[in-house]
Amino acid sequence: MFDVRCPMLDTSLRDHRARGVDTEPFEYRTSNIEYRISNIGHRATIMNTHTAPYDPVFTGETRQRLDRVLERYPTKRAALLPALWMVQETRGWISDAAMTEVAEVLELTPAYVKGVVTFYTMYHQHPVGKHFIQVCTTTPCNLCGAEEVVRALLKHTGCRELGATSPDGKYTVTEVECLGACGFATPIMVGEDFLEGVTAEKVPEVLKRYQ
Amino acid sequence: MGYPHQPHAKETVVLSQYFGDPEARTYQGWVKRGGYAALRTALARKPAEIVEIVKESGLRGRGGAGFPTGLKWSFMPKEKSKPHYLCCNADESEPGTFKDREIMRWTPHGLIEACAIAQYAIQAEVTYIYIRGEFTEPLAIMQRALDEAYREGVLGANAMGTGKRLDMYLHRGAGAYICGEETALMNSIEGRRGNPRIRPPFPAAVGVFGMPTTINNVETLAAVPHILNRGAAWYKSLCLSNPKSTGTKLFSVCGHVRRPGNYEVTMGFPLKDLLYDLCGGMRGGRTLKACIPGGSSVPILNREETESCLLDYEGCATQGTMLGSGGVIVFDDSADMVYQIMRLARFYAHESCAQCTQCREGTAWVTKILQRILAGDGHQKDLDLLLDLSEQMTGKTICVLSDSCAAPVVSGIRKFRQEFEAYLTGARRPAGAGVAV
Ligand SMILES: Cc1cc2nc3c(=O)[nH]c(=O)nc-3n(C[C@H](O)[C@H](O)[C@H](O)COP(=O)(O)O)c2cc1C
Ligand code: SF4
Ligand code: FES
Repeated sequence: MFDVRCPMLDTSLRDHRARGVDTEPFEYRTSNIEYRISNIGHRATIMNTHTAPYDPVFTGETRQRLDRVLERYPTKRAALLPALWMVQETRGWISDAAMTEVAEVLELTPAYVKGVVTFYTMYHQHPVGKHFIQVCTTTPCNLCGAEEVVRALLKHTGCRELGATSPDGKYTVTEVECLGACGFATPIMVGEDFLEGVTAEKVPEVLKRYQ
Repeated sequence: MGYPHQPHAKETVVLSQYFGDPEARTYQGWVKRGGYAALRTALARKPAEIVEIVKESGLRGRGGAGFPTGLKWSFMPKEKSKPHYLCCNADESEPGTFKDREIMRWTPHGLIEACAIAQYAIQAEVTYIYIRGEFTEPLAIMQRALDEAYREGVLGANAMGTGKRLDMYLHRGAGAYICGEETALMNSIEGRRGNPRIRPPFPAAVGVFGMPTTINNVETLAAVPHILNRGAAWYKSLCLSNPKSTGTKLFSVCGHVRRPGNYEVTMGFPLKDLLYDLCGGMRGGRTLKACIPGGSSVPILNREETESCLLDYEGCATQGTMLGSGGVIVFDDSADMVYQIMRLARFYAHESCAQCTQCREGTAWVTKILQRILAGDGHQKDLDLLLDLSEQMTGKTICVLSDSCAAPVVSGIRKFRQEFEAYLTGARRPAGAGVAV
């Protein structure tokens, strides 16, 4: 067994086991919605990311891109959201170490950066499956069968529940609030791709494109 | 036109004329269609003249509140001692609303032209177009158009060859409905959590980066070049009912209609005609039960009210609701109103920025009580409790997200009380509370 670190608790799973802590899926809450995180699903993606020395994001070309972004704003702080997007594009998620790097580059504190990261739902604070799938289930889409789409996605990806990553590490499925395409129910996002008019029947075909 | 449908004879196509026409997306295509002529004439005039024309046209904000646009612009300081900013609100996240997305997808240069005119009118050096993070396609299209506009000299240090400087940037959001609220949007641009600010000071005095700022919705701005091209009198003449509501409006229709999509009609158009003629009526020959005409934040209408509602600011007010953002959500007789209202409350509970106690606690408790009713564990007193909570959530917070959560709950209980009671008395089988349950 690898000694992997659990990003939510920032301690290793092996430590937990040694202390007799239950390493089965655990729950956490953000605002009012409960999520369940499956440790099993995370294991594959977490390996080595925490033990390897930190590799900075803002070097070379990425640093130049950030410098161009900085020119658009009168303050450095204003480049925070764009900088966090750059981290997520290169790393897939935003680790505490990356937040510290962003803080240094923009002359902010790590705590401030974390405060902003946690406010916005699109920034991942832990690794997610290769394909991060978000399904709109807000009222207009709900009327048109969005929950059927969620059930079909859970079934066909093998994700055991919302927010959990499939055992093969390929998919994470979550619900999302209104995606601003309510007339084309049901819209879903797969990573950066925006798909319209997804139905439960179309799910297997959609997943074929994201292997 | 009712993209993705063919234009209907009853539509008045102005903003949506080029929806579905890929050539209109390019700079060349836009110029061929008469684009950037309005900007050229605007730059030859004095900023104050443009503000006057917009005032005269009667244009009102399409982002929700319906505030007169020219008046809003006139609040900007005339004597310039500090930088001014324009923010274009493309955060579009109000359930039921999907019109700004279509404007950006099909007429990106139209929006750039509109922003440039507004920016000049309020004497701002920079426009930030704040687009929600999930809109990956509109973001890409807008970025491409902006690059083109800079390359063609529309924007930049010598905009349209006039020696005036106009800069425009996209700012990508990262998933937060509340960032559509104007002061939260400014905080988000500044690299802060998207918490709304207490007003006063108002943005025209202290806005983004502490400077005078105007914030307008995409659709509001998009109307401006047409007003300059065809005149304020023409725009004012687009009116079917109350002279205080002028111009055309895009209505995004979704839910149980046969042809959901965007439809552009003149202010004052009957909601009944929109649903039965343009959208083809209910799916599967069912009957209409309820309708939310202005995005999820406004009170629900029952069938009779829907069929007599006129689509303008005053017409909606007459029926006890609001025009809002023009997101029309349609429920047929198969809809479970209790469940759908719970789902709306859950939306607000998820999106509350949690600064105000009434909102943070209220939205969460309203959702929990509605879930309890749906699970068959409700008490007779719960409906009064919900109304009481809603009362506490209205008019007491920094922004109106809290009020927006209360609106569908209160109107839902008032108009569909028998559905709630059916759960309370056990006449109706308990429903689930979402996929997770
Ligand atoms: C919670 C909340 C969310 C809002 N979301 C949006 C939005 O997504 N898009 C928008 O244009 N206006 C939104 N508004 C309205 C804005 O605060 C603001 O009134 C509007 O952008 C002004 O532009 P207008 O005068 O052109 O309508 C929202 C308001 C509130 C209170
Ligand atoms: S009403 Fe809600 S969303 Fe608005 S500022 Fe208060 S807590 Fe935030
Ligand atoms: S409710 Fe699903 S996209 Fe708006």
